[in-house]
Amino acid sequence: MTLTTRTRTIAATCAAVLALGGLAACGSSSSSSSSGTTKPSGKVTVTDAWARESATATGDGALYFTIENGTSTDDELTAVSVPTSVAAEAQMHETVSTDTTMSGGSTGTTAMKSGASAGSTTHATIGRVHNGADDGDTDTTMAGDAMMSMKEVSSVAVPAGQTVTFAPGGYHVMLMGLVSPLKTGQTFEVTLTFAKAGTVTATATVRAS
Amino acid sequence: MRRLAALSVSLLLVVGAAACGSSSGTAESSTATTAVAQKGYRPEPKRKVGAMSLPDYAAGQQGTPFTFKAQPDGLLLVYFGYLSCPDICPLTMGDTAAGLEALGDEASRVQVAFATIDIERDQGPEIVEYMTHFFSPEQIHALRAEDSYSLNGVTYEFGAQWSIEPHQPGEFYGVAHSGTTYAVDDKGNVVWAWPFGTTGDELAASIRTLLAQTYPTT
Ligand SMILES: [Cu+2]
Repeated sequence: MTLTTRTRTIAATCAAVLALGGLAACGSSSSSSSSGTTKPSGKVTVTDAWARESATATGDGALYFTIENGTSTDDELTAVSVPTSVAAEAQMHETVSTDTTMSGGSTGTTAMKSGASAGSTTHATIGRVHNGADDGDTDTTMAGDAMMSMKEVSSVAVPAGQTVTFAPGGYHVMLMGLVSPLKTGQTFEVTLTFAKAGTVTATATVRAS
Repeated sequence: MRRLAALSVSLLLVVGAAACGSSSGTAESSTATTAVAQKGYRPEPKRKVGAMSLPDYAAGQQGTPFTFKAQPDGLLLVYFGYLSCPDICPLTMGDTAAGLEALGDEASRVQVAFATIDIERDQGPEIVEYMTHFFSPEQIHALRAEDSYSLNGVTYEFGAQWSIEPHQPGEFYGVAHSGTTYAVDDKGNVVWAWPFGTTGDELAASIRTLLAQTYPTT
């Protein structure tokens, strides 16, 4: 399961790299591939729900699971919730690579430099700004490493007969405002709401990874 | 060994190809070829970071400057992240811890530095707490810059990028950052950069290679 999403992330990076090299796309990037051989269950099921053990006393959590759409109808996950005794809010997030600066002098780098030099009146702070120790030439020849960030998503498609995995590096449910740190072995109920299948509940277990 | 070194020079395209190759995901596919390119790349031109330091809070320190150099004959792994990062930072730290575990005795030559890029929210002692969740106390450095200016100076030299969403004080904000883990030698040269998604086993294999390449006589 973990492999699935990692594979997808890697494949995405890969595609970006190869695109730069002017080569064709690499292999199948099958994000969340279907298990076409298994018999349709006729239901939307949620399995292997888990949340990562908290590393610190405060902070947010991440919840993952596998959704199998065993029906012949395309569906959509529209919301996920957890008890307020666990977290104040649950949001669906996707980890994405926001970077465009695989080679030097790209627009991404330029945008960053100008963004930072603008000094901004907000609390925006942008990295990859040289502190002026040597000349500016290196600024445009040095590549920065891909940036990752997460964005909130309002829904996730779960096509008929397909399996969609929320796993590290891909989709996660962010548990914001944890009431107490998540401890390995702890369990809590998760409610997933689908556009067609309605609500499906699962029990999430806290574990290290 | 020599062959691996040669391969690694051919940089990103090789990385891309390697990543593609492994996307079928099984061990068999990678053992089919004799030389497997390490995941990641060796930064060229050389990135030298050994003249820079950041305040360290590990081992009860109160912000003692930590210089970006490994212990003699060792490697320093450096990651720029933030503590409220729920997904990729703990995943990377977990994978890194698994990698050190897989290294066995050689892990004593490796230390891991986590430098926060979210100095507004993250405090030194919290970084220590976070890192000791994954590593033993003697393996870690918990770094927090005094200000974003000094942080910029460091991340620039590493080739790491980060960005904090504009926000009002007290307001929630998003963070973007390079998911890269850097390996620094005992002279302060960045000898390798692993992309986000490198597994513990890949990391361990890569560290063994790097130790042997960087310190051929030890
Ligand atoms: Cu998130």
